[in-house]
Amino acid sequence: MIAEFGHFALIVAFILSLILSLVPLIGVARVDHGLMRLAMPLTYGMAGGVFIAFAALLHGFVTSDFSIALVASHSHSTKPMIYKISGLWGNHEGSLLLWIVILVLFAGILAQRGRLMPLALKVRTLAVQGMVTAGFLAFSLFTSNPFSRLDPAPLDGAGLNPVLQDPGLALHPPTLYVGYVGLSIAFSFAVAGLLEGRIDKSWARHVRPWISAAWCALTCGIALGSWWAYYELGWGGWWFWDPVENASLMPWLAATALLHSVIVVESRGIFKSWTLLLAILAFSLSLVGTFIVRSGLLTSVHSFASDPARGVFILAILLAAIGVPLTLFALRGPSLSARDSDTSENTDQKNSDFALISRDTGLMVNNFLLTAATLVVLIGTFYPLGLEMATGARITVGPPYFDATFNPIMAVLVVAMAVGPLLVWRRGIGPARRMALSAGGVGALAALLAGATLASGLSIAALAGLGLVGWLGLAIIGDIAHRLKPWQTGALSGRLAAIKMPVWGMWLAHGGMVVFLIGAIGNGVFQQEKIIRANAGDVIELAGREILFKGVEARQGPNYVTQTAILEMRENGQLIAVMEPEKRFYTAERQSTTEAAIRPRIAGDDYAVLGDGDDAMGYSLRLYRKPLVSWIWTGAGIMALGGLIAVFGRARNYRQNIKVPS
Amino acid sequence: MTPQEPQKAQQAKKAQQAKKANPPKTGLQLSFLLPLIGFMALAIIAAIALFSTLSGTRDVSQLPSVMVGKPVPETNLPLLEGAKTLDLTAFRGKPLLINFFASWCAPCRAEAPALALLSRDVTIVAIAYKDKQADTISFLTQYGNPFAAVAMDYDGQAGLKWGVYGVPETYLVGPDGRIVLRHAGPIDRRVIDNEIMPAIKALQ
Amino acid sequence: MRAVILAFLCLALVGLVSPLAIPLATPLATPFAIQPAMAVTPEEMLGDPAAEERARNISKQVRCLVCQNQSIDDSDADLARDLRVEIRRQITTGVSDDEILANLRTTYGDYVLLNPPVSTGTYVLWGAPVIIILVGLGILIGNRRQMRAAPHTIEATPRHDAAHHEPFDAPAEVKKPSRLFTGIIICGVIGVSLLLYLMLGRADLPDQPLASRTAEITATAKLQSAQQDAQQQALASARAEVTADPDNIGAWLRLAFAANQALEHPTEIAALEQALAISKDDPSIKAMLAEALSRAAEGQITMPARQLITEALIANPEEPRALYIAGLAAYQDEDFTKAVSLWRRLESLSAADAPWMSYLGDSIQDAMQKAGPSGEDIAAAAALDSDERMAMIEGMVAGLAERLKDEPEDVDGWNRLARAYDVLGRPQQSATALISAADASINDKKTQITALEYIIANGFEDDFAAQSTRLLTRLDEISPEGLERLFFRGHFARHTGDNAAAKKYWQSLLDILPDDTPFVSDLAAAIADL
Repeated sequence: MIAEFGHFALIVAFILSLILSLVPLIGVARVDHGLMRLAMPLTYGMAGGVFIAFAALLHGFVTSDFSIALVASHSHSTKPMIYKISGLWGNHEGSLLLWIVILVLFAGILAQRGRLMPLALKVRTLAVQGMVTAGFLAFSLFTSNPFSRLDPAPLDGAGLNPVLQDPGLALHPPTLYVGYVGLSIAFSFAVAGLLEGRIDKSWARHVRPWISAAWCALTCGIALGSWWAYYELGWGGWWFWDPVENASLMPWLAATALLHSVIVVESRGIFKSWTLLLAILAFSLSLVGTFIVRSGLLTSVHSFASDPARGVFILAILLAAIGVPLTLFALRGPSLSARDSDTSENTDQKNSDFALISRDTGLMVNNFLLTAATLVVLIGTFYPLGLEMATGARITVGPPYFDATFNPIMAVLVVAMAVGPLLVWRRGIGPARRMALSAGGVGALAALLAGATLASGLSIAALAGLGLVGWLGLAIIGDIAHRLKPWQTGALSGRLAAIKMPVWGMWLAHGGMVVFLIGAIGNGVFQQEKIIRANAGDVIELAGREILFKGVEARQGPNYVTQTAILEMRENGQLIAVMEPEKRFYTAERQSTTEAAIRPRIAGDDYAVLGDGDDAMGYSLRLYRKPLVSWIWTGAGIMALGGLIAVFGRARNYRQNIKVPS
Repeated sequence: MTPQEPQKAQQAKKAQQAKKANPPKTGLQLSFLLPLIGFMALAIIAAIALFSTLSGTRDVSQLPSVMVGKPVPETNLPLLEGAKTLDLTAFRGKPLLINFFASWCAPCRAEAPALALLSRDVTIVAIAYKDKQADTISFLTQYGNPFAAVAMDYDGQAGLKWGVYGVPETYLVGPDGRIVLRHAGPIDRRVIDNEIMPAIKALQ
Repeated sequence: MRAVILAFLCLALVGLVSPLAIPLATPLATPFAIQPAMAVTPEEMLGDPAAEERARNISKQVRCLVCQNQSIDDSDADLARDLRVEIRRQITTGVSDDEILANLRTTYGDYVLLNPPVSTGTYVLWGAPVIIILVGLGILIGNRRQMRAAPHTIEATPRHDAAHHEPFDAPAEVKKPSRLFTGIIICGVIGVSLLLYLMLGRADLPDQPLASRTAEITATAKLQSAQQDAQQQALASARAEVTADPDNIGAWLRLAFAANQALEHPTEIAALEQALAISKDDPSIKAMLAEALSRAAEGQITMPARQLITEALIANPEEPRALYIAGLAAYQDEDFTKAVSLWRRLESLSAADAPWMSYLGDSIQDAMQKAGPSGEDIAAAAALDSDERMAMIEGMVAGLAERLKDEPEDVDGWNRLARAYDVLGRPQQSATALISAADASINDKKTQITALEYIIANGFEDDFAAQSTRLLTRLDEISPEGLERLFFRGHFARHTGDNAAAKKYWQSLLDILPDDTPFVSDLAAAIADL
């Protein structure tokens, strides 16, 4: 009953989304407010239907209803409840439903808030959102229906892939999808603007919080995925340039560019075509990411069960969802950027004129570099496929390629990041330049010297990385110092209050980047590793500690049995930790996983992995000391926090400055 | 006349001048077309890949072998039974199939009847890849032995020389000792009819 | 007999499913799943740290071919380990890094290198970043030039989009859509949704949360364990029987059947081999053995099995199980026309009520479909029409009768002959053959009973009076307390008019039978009629 009711609700949502795609737009064309206002209740109805469907499916997973085919193939009676729940989105059909849930959630939020938005823009945006939702709902209902039933129902399920039975992986998809789908709102705004034929500062003002929120979520989602790979995959890597990882990085790069570009539109009314294109591009890349994972075209550890037949449907959706807006962009884009009908500014100003040294140029450079980086990753990811279609040759484009092409572009960007915030609109560079840039220079030199003397045999790339870290890190501190002037104790609180929230957000976000780089470079360069075969009682020395291997014992988990190694770590004779890496064998799914033991600390992680072996010949152990590695994800978290603060700060500012007519 | 009117008139005049100076850019511009062109290129690649995968002409798991055209690598392996080593030069002068298999490999069992069928038309030499003698013997007892000779590659070293990356793999060697084709994966009627037999006929 | 039929059924099921199973096997099996090695085990590492460092760096550039986007340094796969070992071996023999990578490239191609080599195929790849930057710079500089040359001012164009006019919500005089309109829309939505739902959904299936199925689960578990116990018991008793009576073919066949039920293939095969040896290569048992071998090979008709089938068909071209398996083998070879013709032959040889007829028809249909339109014609042409079939059976019967003249002790042969006559519609001769079978096995109760049953069923008590008496006498000797004997005696007594004797026989039968036997009431009625 519940399952079928959920199925019905999903169908109702689909019908409503079809209506939403069409009717309000007719209303806009005819200036029929009645029809236009239908957009909101339609959105709520569509959202309600999807939520009911999701709840029904969740109920099926929670109660282990094996008459639902999805539950039977991805769940098991012995699984812990949290994994029964996260099993819902640990597969193709369920994760697609999650996508749709977030799509309609955001649409609903937009429908509910946005009272200050021009009605036509809001309606058009909701309609475009409805089109995207309709496409996804059609794909779900007709090719990947989560509510398909089994009769007779099996007595137990097939279980969830043990690799997915993990808290990090329970959170990673929802967070990532919030990011992807948030970009859909920006996309809808862009298409709405193209349909309307105008993009102006108020458009930018309305779309900006959505972009920031999506960017924050995307940053967290990618960081979660990377962190998960680090602790789950057993050798401490955190980024592999895997096609699906790239598929999440590309929207992030585009969204970062978009985030900055929309600032320019809002402040200066220029860069409209860039921003439009980036908004379309960011969500298009999210869609392409979906295509990769579910179509079987590219091999990846992330791939769902690949089904090329579904791929055809997805290709059709992509052609419509990306091809149409890009065509609109090609046709209407030039005239859009030539026209600016926002009369709230002084019409005598030559808005689009700016000097070479100006914030405008800085952000243009930012746009350019990030777009170039996105394109490089895109080419690297799809080149093997393209070459195979063209000549039949099979090649691999792996991390060495991306290290050689992507890293230099990002390096230039890091250099620019120190200068950009110092620049002023239209022309010039601000008063903080002296302090910030000299601090940056000092920082770079100090880092280079430290690197050259403290660590031996560093590669040029590593040294360059250290230099960049010093440059950007100290430049930001210099900028902050110039503003706050902490050496002048008088009126310090006043200066503190004068700094608006968005500025703090920017400093945090850029500072987060520095923290991330410290983690990435520190871990990459200063990691220590020991691989040995040990018998019980052996002591291994690593990074100034003594690790005593006490042996391996068998243990029992909720739905698995383990072989657990016990390692006692001592420093200067003091026991500082007991690490227990293990190998798990999941009884229902008959698969094993390796669980590393990690001791995370600010200065660095201790990481241990158990390999094969037995009591007779000894056990293979891999022990790592990974300095500063957690700074990678802390940095990402700080970046996301910075973005969040910037959004809320602006919203507060805006509310303070605007007067709503009663 | 209202105070705003002169201002408005001036604005209108300026607008007209600006319009004459640079007409609004309408129509197609190359830089605005680039994203669409780029996307269409990507979509075409994806479509071709998708349809060739659907129609079966593209198999992602099949890696084309770069050993095709090269002479057979040195393969001095012990035979399954007896103390001798495998001597591939003894098979020169006619087409030869080399089949890498293993007792632990499920698709190898599935292709046994197809190999039996093939063995009527062409000599097949098998190499047991990373397997034990006893297991290989019981495999051959259970599934039949259509091979002219069976050699043992205990550590996979010979496989590395041939470019083997999984089992089963079958190589067609020409009368001159050069590799003519490689099929990765189990052999069935379709593979025999569409790939192997035409290649053998072409050699004769 | 029942065991044989059941075994046949199992094979048929296997045979029908196996052609589906085999093509779905994974295309390439790798050692990965069997022996999980660890990425870089201690034993692989070279003693010299500098050399080991080199090895690690090279490994990081080599792709693991059987993994998804991993280097061999990170991978657990066996192939990855082999490559790591090979790289270290080459290092110790003094080969340079570039040469090692080149060697790998020679055998495995560019695909194995994570860093795509610069070649004609990758000029675009390596050139693209440069091109992108140049093109991007070009666009930027071009835009800037344009902007400098003709800076555009803001036009005070009136808003062309009237709907956009008010920045905030619509004026108060917006008319709300009428109730009727809303009602129609809602009905429409629900209507269309219901329609779609009826196409996609399963309204008839209720939820089945696990908590509500505990009864079903325990019942199934009990049933399963009961079945398993029964199977193990049957197996144990069959083993005992065989130990007690090692020369009894039937005992070995029963052991094979019990092993088949318990899914112990090696036992089944061994038992059948024994039976085959004792029976001196009986073709039916050969066919059974072939079937068992195929079952052990997950349904594949292996070469040894095919060999057995061929031998069985030479000895007895009409052996039904052998014919069926031969058809299966052809099916697995995707030679569907051959499969159809073999199965059609089996169909024509079989009695209409043969136990395999139900799924034989389906098998033929399936193979005919797979054979395609032209194949169907050929197969149809190869099928015999009823006259030819009759003629064939007649010929077979004649031959069999001739043979049995020389070998009158062949009980099976007589049984086959009886069946053939029955199919030909000659019950008298069938009865004669059955009586001959009974005569050839004077200590076998079953053959006597079969013959007597057939006589009674066809009303041949008068035609075969003398033979019936003979059979009854034998039955008296073989099983004096037997129920069947009492029944038949009573029947023949009644037939000859000796009602008192009939009553006596049947009354004693009634006394012996338990009261809840369904037959009892009929018997009582019959006694009353006398």
